[in-house]
Order: sequence, then C-alpha cells, then structure tokens
Amino acid sequence: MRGRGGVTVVIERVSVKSERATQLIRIMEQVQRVVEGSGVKNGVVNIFTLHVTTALTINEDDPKLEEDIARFMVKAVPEDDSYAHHHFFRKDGRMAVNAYSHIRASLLGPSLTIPLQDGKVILGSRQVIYLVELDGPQTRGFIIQVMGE
Amino acid sequence: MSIDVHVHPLMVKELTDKRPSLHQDARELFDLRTNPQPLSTLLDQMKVCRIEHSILLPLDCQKIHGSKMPSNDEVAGLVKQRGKELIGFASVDPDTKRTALIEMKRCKDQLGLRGLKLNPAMQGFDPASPQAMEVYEEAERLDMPILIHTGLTFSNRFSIQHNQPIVYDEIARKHPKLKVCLAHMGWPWVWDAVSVAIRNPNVYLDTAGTYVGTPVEHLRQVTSTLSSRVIENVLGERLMFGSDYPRIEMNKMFDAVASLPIRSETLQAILGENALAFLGEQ
Repeated sequence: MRGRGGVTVVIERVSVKSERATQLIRIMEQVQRVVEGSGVKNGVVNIFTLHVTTALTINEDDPKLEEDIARFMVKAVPEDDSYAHHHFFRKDGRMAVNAYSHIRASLLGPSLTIPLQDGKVILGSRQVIYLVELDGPQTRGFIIQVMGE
Repeated sequence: MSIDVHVHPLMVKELTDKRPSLHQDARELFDLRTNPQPLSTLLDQMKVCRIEHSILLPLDCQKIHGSKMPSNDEVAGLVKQRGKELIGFASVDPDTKRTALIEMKRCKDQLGLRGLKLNPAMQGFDPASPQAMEVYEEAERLDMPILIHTGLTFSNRFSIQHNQPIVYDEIARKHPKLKVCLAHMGWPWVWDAVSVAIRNPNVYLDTAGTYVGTPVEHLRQVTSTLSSRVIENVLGERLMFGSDYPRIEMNKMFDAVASLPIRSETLQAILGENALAFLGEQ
C-alpha cells in the first residue's frame, strides 16, 4: 500500500510452531522475507506478537543462550505460586492456569521496531530476532509491518 | 507405554477448516474460546511429555445443539491420518434408542473406534434411563469401554444432576464386563467416584481437568482429600492419566501427575498400564 508522500506500508501475518513450553524461536528469515517482498528500501519494520503468552526479543545468536534465557524466565516467574488469575475464566471457557506465562511475556514485551536500510534490517553482527514462546507448544502468529520508501 | 485417555478434538484446525460451524459450536456449547490449533499442536504436546497415544473423544450433541462435536467419522478420519498415535472413541445419544445401537456397531466394526464417550449433562440424557441401559448393554456386548463425564460442568446452562458418579455403581454391577471410566474423578464428588471404583473392578477414574487452579493445585487438593495412600493402595490399578486437552494443556497436566508423591510403579500404572487394561489390551 502506497500512502501519501510515497510511503509504503506492507503488513503480513506469519505463523510459527513452537515445540516446547518455553522456547526462543528465530524469526530472522520470516522478517527478511517480508522486508524484501515489500520493496521498501529505507524505513522501519515493526514486529508485533498476537498473543499474550508470547513475546519478542533480540539477543545473541547462540543456542546455549536461548536455553539460558528460557530457563531464567522459568526461574524468575515461578509456576508454583499463588496467582489470582488461576480461576475459572469465563472468557476462555476453561480454568486460567498460566499467570506465570503472562507475567513472563509482560517482562519481555510484545513488539519490536527495527530500522531498515537498503532493503535490509539493521542489526548488530550478533543480534538475532526471536519470538519467545512462553506457553507452548502451540502454533503462534505475529505481525510483520514494513513502513518506508 | 503412556496414554492420555481424555482428549477432545474440538479445536483441531484440520476439522474446523472443513466444517467452520464446529468452531462456533465449541464456543457456544463448551464455552471454549481458544482458537483452533493444527493437529500437530496436540502431537507436539504429546511429544513434550512423552505420551505415546491419545484417546480422542467426540460428543454427540445433535439433540441439544444440533451438532456432533466432532462426529464419529471426523474422529475416525483423524485416527486414520495419524495411525497408532491416536485412538478413537465414538459418541452416541442414548435417547435415539435403536439408532444409537446401530451407530455403535458401525463405529466399532467399520470405523475402528474402540470405545464410547458420553456426557449426560451436555447430551441431555438420564444415565439411568432404560435407553441408556441399552447402550451400556450394547457396549458390553461389543467390548467398547465407556468414558463418561462425571462431576462439575462449568457451564450453568446444563443441570449437573445427571453428572453424579454414584449412579454408575448400579450400572457397573449390572454389567461386570463393561469397563467404565468416571472422568474427572467425579470432582467434586471424588469420594463418591472412588467408592464406586473400590466396589467395582470394572470402574476406572481419570485425572482429567482442573477445577481449583493449575493442574498442580487441583491435584494437590484432590490428594489432600484422598491422601496419597488411597491413590497408591486403592486406585493404583484404576486411575488413568487424562488431560482434558484443549481445556488444559497436556504437558501441564502431565507435570502435575508426575509430581504426585507416589511410587514410580504407581505413576507408570496411572500413565499407561491402567489405560491398557481399560482398553482391554492387558
């Protein structure tokens, strides 16, 4: 979509499948694919998760660190605590049993904004974009919005 | 060998894509607001907790809601798609009388469905009615174990009058070869369900569902009522692992059951051996 002043906005919904309860999933390829497909050379890409028990983060490209971050989130917000959220949740038609997942998601945040230059996302040499699964395994969706010219 | 005996294939994307009304029906009847997930999500949850087989439970709600959730054929289709990982049960409405009996035989002989799922409150039938008795008799004759909802139903649109586990004492005594699982341990009538199981060797219970918090909190409440000793010594051969997926994630229920303060042999029995006996494989 081309707006006034030659600004292009492209938005795409992308799905990924987690395989563990807590897991960092690399989404670099999906982001770069949407950026390249958009034709936008300079601008920003916004990434936004559609769930309240997933988050987005950027960190170092190291599987061991992925494990460390996942383990830390579990340790930082323990599952075996007394949470007010754990009641019959009419909105879902089931017991709410995952307050810790919501809290972990809030600590990390639901979105990222990354600058684009020459049709590429600008990241440091060690930076990787992750969707963080905090209540898996499930199929998850997130939005990639590319804005620029 | 580990088996989850209580999985509802309600929000399976492969089914809701083909029949979108199933999604809406699950929202309206089960109050389930979660979004459909592909079958692979269930399989991934099984993989995470090393559950090798899941029993898929349909529910014939044609009379109450005009929908089968899902239908016996849809369950058979999922089982055919995945092979051994999934075990299909059938569901019929006892009030349809002869039609129910014919459908049971078709499901067993032609669809390969192994047992029967009933939910008196949500299907709107009296579990002690003459037509229900005919279903139990046919299930015994066909060697189809029955997993029946007992205990609480969250939705107050249904009376829970017919969810009391004690009624199955009479049925189990009349049909000693019929295997009956009182789902959810009859919560909150847990002692009633346990009493029926103690008296009748053909009665099983499952761990499915959570009513007072997380699976850990729920099972803690149940075991504080029953004590681990009752689970070890009385229910060791009759309690089966069930999750109630997608109302509760299988891996969360598994972690809760695995953390029960019981012997490892009892845990193994709960996780699989008792289900094999329920299915007639031991």
